[in-house]
Amino acid sequence: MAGQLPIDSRPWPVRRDQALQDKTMQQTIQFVTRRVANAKVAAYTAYPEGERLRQRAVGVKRRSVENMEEHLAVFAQQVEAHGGQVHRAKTAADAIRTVLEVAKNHGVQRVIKTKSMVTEELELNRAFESVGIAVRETDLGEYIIQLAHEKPSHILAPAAHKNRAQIEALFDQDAAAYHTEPPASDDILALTQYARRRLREEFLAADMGVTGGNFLVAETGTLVLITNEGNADMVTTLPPILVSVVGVEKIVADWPGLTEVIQQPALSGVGQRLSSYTTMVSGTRGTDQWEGPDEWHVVLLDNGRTLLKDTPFEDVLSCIRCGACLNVCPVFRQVGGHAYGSVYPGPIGIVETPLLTNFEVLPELPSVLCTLCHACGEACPMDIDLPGHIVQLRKIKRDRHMDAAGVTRSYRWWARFWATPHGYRRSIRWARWGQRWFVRHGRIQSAPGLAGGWFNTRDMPPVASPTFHEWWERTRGKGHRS
Amino acid sequence: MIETEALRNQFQRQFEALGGHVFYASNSERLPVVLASAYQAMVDRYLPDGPLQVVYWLNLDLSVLDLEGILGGIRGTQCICWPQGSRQHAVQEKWRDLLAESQVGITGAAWAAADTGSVALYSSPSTGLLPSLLMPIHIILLNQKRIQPSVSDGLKKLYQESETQGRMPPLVKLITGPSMTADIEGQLVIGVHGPTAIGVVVYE
Amino acid sequence: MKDEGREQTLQLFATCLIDLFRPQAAIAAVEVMERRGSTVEFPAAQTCCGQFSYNAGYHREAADLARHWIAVFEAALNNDSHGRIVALSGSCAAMIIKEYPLLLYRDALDRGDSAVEAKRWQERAERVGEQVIEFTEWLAQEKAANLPASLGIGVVYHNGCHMRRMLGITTGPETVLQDYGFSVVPIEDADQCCGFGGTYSMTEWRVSTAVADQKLQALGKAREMGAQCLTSADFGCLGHLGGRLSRRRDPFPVVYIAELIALTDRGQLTVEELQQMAHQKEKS
Repeated sequence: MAGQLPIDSRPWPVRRDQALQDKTMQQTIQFVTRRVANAKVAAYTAYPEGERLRQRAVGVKRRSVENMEEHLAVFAQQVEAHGGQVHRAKTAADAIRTVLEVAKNHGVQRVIKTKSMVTEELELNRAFESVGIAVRETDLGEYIIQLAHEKPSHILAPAAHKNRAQIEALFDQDAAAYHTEPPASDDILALTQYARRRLREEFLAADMGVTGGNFLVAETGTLVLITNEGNADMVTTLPPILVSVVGVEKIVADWPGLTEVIQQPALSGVGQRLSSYTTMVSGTRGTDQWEGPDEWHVVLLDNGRTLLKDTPFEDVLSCIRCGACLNVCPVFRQVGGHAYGSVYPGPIGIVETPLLTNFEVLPELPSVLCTLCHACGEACPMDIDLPGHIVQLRKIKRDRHMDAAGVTRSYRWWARFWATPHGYRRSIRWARWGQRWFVRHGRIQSAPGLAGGWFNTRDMPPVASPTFHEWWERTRGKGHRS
Repeated sequence: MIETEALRNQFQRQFEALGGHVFYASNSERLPVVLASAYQAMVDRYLPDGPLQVVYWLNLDLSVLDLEGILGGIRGTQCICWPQGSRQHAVQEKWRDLLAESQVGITGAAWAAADTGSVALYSSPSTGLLPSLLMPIHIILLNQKRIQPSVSDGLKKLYQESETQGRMPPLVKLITGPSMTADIEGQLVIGVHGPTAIGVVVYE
Repeated sequence: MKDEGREQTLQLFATCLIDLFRPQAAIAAVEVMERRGSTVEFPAAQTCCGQFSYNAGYHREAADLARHWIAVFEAALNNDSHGRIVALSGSCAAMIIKEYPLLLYRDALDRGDSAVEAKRWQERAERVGEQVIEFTEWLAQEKAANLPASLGIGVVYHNGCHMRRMLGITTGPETVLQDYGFSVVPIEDADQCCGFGGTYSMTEWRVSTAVADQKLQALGKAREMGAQCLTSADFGCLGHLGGRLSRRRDPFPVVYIAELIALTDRGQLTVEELQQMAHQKEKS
């Protein structure tokens, strides 16, 4: 069953042009992606063990996904043996229903959340608000985005497109709404201190916490959360009810497997050997304990993921959401996350969005957001064949007749002519004849058809006289040896 | 012996690279003095003004350590021991406020990892996570014997312990540096939700 | 590896872009290869490797071009398993070496051929792919004689993405340039794409141009540090960046790497000569 993903329904040209005009966003995104991409390279260089672990982690993720169902059953059994409850959600709607039901059963008023891509996938905040429950994002970036009523623009750095002045304005508004002291200045430290103070109140007052999850360990029934800020620790330790919404592909078969994957999100995502906080939840609080939830619900979300099982795209389920592919992508660095229109931006997003939804939404993604430079394939710590998949998705689109008829015809004729030397020569004659109308100052400056786009911003020399073929024929003749 | 020292040095290098502070007490007699000066150095640097209230719990090997005696003389520090035994809702609320109003958390540790500079804490009736999270300063007392070569080794140890216990601790936390973020313009800022400053006092 | 003392015959794959838009690059490559004692042959039936179509998802069309390419070069090699095909593009070489085998295997199955027949195409592609070598890789294996100590000419070398990531050629071409006396001026984000991407540069020209402009911005800094020309072993990238410079009325010289080497071989390398060479096309 195809999954449901929320999308920005504006057409691609609108999303693209808005992004290309947003110089603030471009500057910030470029700074952030470069910094993190360089940090990743430096981290692996200084830590040879990291590469060995990475290779083993790939094996662990592949094997865990292979027998996903089996491991999920063990996971459920383990969680339930330690006081938790596990729910399976086939679709986004199922997951939302389950979470709201838990909240309703306990008369929940205020929810605090950790950063989670899966809950973005569900638009869970909107669902809470629609039934009158206040929800607060506690990751600093997510908090900023929530105040701005926007979507994250980067998997790991949701507010990477905003600068400090824009953030100060948002915090000022928030302070006015909550009758509290606004940030002292637009200094980054002052802004962070404001968030600490404001969110601390929310942490202490919340009656339900919602998390995503980086890994699930079947053998021990453990949920692993990785953050740098410490908000996941707050969310798992303070509120009496904890709900964790996690994609089924996060499953890892056993504890030794976890030890091999656990460092990868930080190493590849931010260039640290481990993030500041790694939080592991393996059940509810015992009666003799002071901390942790009284009740723990784990919602295992499918939402199209099992569609990828046993297909050439299965490796996509190994994604650990580190964002390494976004950080190195030359297109992402120009357009930022919002232009993709999907919860999942960047190379992984243009592969995953059409696959999870069976091309029902944003089918243009694989065609319009990739130069096939292979930087993502090189950067992916889980060896996901992103460039290969992008090519295959373009092929699927072509096979399903999703391209404009004119485009398809162009490629067909192009190949028909160039598959023979005779046709090739003929096409050159035509090009020479045709280009006369488009040459200015010795350069071609415009052209009709598929090639036309080139000339909006670039020149091209006219077809040479002689071409190399012709030069060779003239100077060396047939069978000539120098 | 040399191996322990190498591990301690590696742990120290990693932990300091993350922005943490490491102090070393070469024997148990020196621990009170080292702890007092570590505490003084950290509060003077990170919280130069205001009252000081410490919430703490210690590993069993330090149960005789008199924290009140050691720290009480420093800017009138109050020490409150993290509670043990069962809890009730009303008491819990009170404790939460107390924790939120304190400035320094002092805790023991389950183990540490040299290769990543991490420290592991488990939640149990006598060992808690909140003192490591809510206050601006967190100081960890770490027995040098608990330093593992790698985080994998530490996790293996946790797994073996859980097999004897019959279950994993409901909450486990690995601390690898202070609370931080780079969410605004990619600039690193320390101390978002958790501690701004972390220190480890390693003792033999 | 090259057999010492035995004259090597090289089959030249010029690529469609160089054939049509920069024949001087292939002429220079022939000159460079011949000067080093090689016999160069040019299988005249060659056209294009088909990468444009392949990357756009038009695999049936790409496979037609691939089968033609294989037939042409198999015939040229004439069962000589030591013969080599020198490709004047890292990207096209990567297409042949890395993509042809599976492309042809899958396409054969799609056309209803038997698995045996599909496997046969895959093996043919693999075999001929093993004999393909990218031009600078070949050049690096040649002993350079009578090298100038320093020409005092600063160049920026842009390594094509497929050359870097699919063929794994990273610092080789820069080393070659340094061996020939050029000062290689580093460029910021050297490993970032120029934005070309085949037909992507046409269909998504806005994004493609934004990526190119970023490369040119980095190039601007390199020019301040003394770079006097931009070169690459991929004419796709050069044509893209050169076309953008031209539209901006920027006369900065852009030349294919073999042209630089040929000029050095002839002992004619000066900045003026270089500029003239870069803008030869305008005189035609």
